[in-house]
Amino acid sequence: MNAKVIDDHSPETANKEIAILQITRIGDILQTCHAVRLLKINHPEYNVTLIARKQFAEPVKFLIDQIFDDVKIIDFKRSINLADGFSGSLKNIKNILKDINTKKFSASINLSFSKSSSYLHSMINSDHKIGPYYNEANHKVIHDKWSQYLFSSVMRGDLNPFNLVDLFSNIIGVKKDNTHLTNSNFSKEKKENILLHPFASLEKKYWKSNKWSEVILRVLEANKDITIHIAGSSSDKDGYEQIVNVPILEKYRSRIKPLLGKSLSELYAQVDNTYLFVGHDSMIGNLLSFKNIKTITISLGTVRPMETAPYSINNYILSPKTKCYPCFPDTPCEFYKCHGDIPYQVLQEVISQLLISNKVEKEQFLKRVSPFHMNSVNISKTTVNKVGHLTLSNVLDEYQTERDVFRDFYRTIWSYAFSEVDVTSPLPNISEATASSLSKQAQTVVHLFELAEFGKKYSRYILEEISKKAPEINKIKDYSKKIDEVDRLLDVLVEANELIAPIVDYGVVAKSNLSGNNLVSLTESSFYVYQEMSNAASIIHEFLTKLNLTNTNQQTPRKSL
Amino acid sequence: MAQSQEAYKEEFKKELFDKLTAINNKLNRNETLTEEDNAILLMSSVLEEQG
Repeated sequence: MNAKVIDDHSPETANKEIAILQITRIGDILQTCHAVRLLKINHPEYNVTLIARKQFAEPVKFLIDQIFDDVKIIDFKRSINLADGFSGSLKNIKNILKDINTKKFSASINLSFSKSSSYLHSMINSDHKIGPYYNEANHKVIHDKWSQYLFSSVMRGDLNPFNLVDLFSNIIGVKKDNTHLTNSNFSKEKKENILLHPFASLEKKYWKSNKWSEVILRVLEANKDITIHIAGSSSDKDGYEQIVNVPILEKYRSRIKPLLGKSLSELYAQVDNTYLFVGHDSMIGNLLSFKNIKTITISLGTVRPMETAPYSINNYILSPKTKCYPCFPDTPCEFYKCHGDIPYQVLQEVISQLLISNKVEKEQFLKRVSPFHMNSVNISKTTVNKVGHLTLSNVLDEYQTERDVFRDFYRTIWSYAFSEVDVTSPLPNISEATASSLSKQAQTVVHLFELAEFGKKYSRYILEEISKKAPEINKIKDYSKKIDEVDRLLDVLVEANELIAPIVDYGVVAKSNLSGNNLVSLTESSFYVYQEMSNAASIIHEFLTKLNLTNTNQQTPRKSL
Repeated sequence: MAQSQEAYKEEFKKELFDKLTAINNKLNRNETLTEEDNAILLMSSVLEEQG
């Protein structure tokens, strides 16, 4: 990697101290590690301190220590306890903060988005705060646009086109001239081992044991030299027994090894270039991405493959085409249809090809797997675009859905709006039905544009009224009511047209974080938020026009491109 | 033993509740929160997340 070399000590180039606050789970810490790895490659002059919770940081400390210059580990469980009582616990918290604040940070960046992280962030001494924190009036504040975007989009829907690592990098402000994403494979072409992780944090996210038993049987039957190692925590013992202790696997027991309760550092050390990793969306896949191990992720339930795909290239993701996928943790579901929509035959074929050649060939796949089994599943491969973002490409070159097309639109829109980075996407490959559906979206986008323009108009009227010698308060109130009406109409528009939700959601978060402390500056920043929304709508309309999908008189939708 | 644990817990909760009420009153009066107030809010949010 060609890192910039700094060889003078002027104030501009003096080492800058940055604190990264990541007090959520291990998977988030691993994604943060990737983002900071990118930061250190492109900006070696920064000293970066991680602030993380003990229970999540300690299992991956071996990795954290390779990437961060310093780590502050917080043990909330020990600090807030009955034995010390309220006063003692409060004193412990103050000591934690005192320890963190021994350094003076140029910037503190909160990548956690929880209430506790926002409070913690507000107490860190730093010149600049990025990400959420609480201000003196106890209001949650998010100043920077990428954090506002993350808060608005990732928490709500699956139209986010960015991997979380790239989002974190954007929040941190990494200028990605260099990336550690590489085409080189750590895994050998012909492998001897599979590391299988058939468990996940939520029942929605993992297959039942009998399906895994079937997969294991087929793989061991077809590949005589393979050993399957099943990883999990100590608490996964029952799950392991249910998968392995079945009659169909009786004669293969010697080739199935448990790796339950191993530390992550041991697992990381054990997995070498003879391994293929297969599992559900979990931090193990993310961990192994640091070694560029070949992986297959089976994404189910609440998993959004684009966001949480292990951050390395040429890995594979199987996700269902089920209409309700992905869902939310509290979405009721009795049948887990998405689980059945990924047939084990598809996984078996992907495994077979990767065991031998490190890649999935479309032609071979189409020959060996029935179209009946492929109807309901997407097979994606991780790639990287010209600006260093991880993307997913469809292995079988299937048609893109409406949501896929809009994600591509949003990748271009947000990258330019927030970072002035030009992202180009190839023309979408869509069916006639999708083209027809997209052409109906054109009218929605026009409505969105018009409403955003009304928002701008009334913001401008307020500013004009304020600038008069004798501004009329009643007029200002009326214009404010009009703006409220615009916002209500935007909500109604989103109810009927979910594809434009990211723009409206972003607008809501941005408007609740307007900069300024008087009516003029607040109204000005409100104007600019509507301007951003108007621009986004306008860009989408232009894209649809270029695809010949905005002609309302058109009888036949445009054929696939 | 269990009874004294329960008593400690109740005392902890009461102290926390009283402090949070005082903080809330400060905010209603548009007063600025101190470092200690923020530390208490942090503690409360951590306990809330832990359930």
